[in-house]
Amino acid sequence: MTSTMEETVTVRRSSSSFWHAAWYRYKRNKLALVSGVIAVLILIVAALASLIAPYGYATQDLTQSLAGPSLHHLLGTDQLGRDLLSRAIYGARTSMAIAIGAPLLGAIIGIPIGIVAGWFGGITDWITLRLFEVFTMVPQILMALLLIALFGGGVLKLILFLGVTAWVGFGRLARAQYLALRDRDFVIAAKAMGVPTWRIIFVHVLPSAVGPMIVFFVQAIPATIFAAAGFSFLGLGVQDPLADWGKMINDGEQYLSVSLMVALLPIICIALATLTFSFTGDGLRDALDPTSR
Amino acid sequence: MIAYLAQRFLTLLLVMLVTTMLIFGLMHAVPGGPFDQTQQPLPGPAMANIMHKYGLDEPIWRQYLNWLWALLHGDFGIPFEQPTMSVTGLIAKAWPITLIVGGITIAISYLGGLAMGLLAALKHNTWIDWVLTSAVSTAGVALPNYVVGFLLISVFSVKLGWLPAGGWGQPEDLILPVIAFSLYPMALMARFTRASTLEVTYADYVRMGRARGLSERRITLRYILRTALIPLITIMGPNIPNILTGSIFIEATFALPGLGSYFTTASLHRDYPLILALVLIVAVLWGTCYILSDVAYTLVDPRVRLEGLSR
Repeated sequence: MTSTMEETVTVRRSSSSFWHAAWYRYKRNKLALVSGVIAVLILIVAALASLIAPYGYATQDLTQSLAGPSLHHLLGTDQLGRDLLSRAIYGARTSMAIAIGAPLLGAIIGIPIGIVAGWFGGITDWITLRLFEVFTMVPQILMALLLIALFGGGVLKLILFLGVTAWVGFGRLARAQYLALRDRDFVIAAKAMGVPTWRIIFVHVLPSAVGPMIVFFVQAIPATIFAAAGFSFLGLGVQDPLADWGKMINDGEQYLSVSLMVALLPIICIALATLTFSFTGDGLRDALDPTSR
Repeated sequence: MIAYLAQRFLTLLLVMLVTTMLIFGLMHAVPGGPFDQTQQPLPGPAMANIMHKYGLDEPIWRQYLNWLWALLHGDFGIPFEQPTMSVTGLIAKAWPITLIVGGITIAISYLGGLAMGLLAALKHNTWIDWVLTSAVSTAGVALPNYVVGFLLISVFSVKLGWLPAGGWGQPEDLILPVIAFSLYPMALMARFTRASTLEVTYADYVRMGRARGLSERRITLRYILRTALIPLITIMGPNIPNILTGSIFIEATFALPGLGSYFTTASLHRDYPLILALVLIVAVLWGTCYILSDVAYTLVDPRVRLEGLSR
């Protein structure tokens, strides 16, 4: 009974603040809560890869190539005798760096452009809309592939290319948000009181617009994991000896008849990461953007 | 309506002009060219001859205008990698493969997803709903299509030897790529259908229909499904060109010689005419589908008015 009491109290207090209400809604969704915890764990493992991993990602032991699980190598080794567990952990670092970095870059480019278009409207908006069209003409994956083919792969370049091809989504979202909010009463009131425009845009309107942007950002993470791992799977993305889940599948493909683990482990990692991040994204959407059902 | 369509297509033309210019500039901005060879560099005069033959020694703006002029005469040029063919011929050979795989994928995933979503919504909160929703959406979202393809190959081709691992020519070649390709759009379709069906299932006019004693079938098909389909047009419409131009990952995994794999090789070999032609195809399909889905929206939902059309 006491727990029910406590929850009721939380609700009352949280109704005064949007973020408290959002946290309450998020907490109620058990799937999202568990996924969120795992997603954070993956990020921590990725950040502390060099401390957690028992071996280096490139440490070879050719006498132990394609060995099964043992006390020395908990999940076995790959064709060059590299510890699979360590490579999966370092793979989390590469995958997460790209999966977080690319949408972040897209947001940094796209949101200001969208804000300007949505806020000022008129000819600025028209030009921005045409700009959106130009950049959606060629789908993100194809554009990124072209850029990688021309300029080469690697972690930083993947972040750059998947980022510059992701900005349109953020731009459209920010534009729609500001277009919807700019004629609200609180904005008109702020204008009437002589608040400078930049202050209205960032201090008054941004807090109302930031929720959907966070949701969009988290929902972009699984898609970016797919794309980055896909390019590495094709041999175009992350290069040896760096570990990446997509590349590990590619490596394991040839040794399938000897060791299942080499290909299976990165597949499990990809599935775990994409599932947790997409459930987290869904939970955040329901919590932060209640109008979107 | 005609004026509106004309205006939309004119803007599309303008946008495509800018897009091709950007791609053109981008391809030429990188040092090196399609005929650079690291193994055996060509002697200077031979190189100059090749460059001259393909017009690559002219200034960029001139090359772009040449390309545009040829394009207006229906000539996409000659692919550098296969000089005995024309780009048009190459695409005519590759696209049917992508279209067949994509067409079957769309049919299976859209109809299958629709049926599953509808079933889940009609059996809302029963175990059928639970299994369909969680199993399908999880399976479709968890793994990228190339990983699903890889798993399918390892089980059905390598372990069991039932189906070919890749290639093109016999009907069996279609099965695994289509399954791998369909999973994600099917999950998406099922999810959106369920959501939009649930929204109307409890609407007043549906309850009214029941009160009037209409058959459950009539209510489902005429009252619920018709309204539930409307939001799906804008969500699933833009996915169609995506599927019909092929997935580079699926085509690479199953060694299908379709548009996607040509895009990959053309990009890697800097085959300018082929890249531009493929970009153009994708862009035209993409733009047209956007316009059509906007128009379709007004046709099924009379409340929606197109921007610039209403007055």
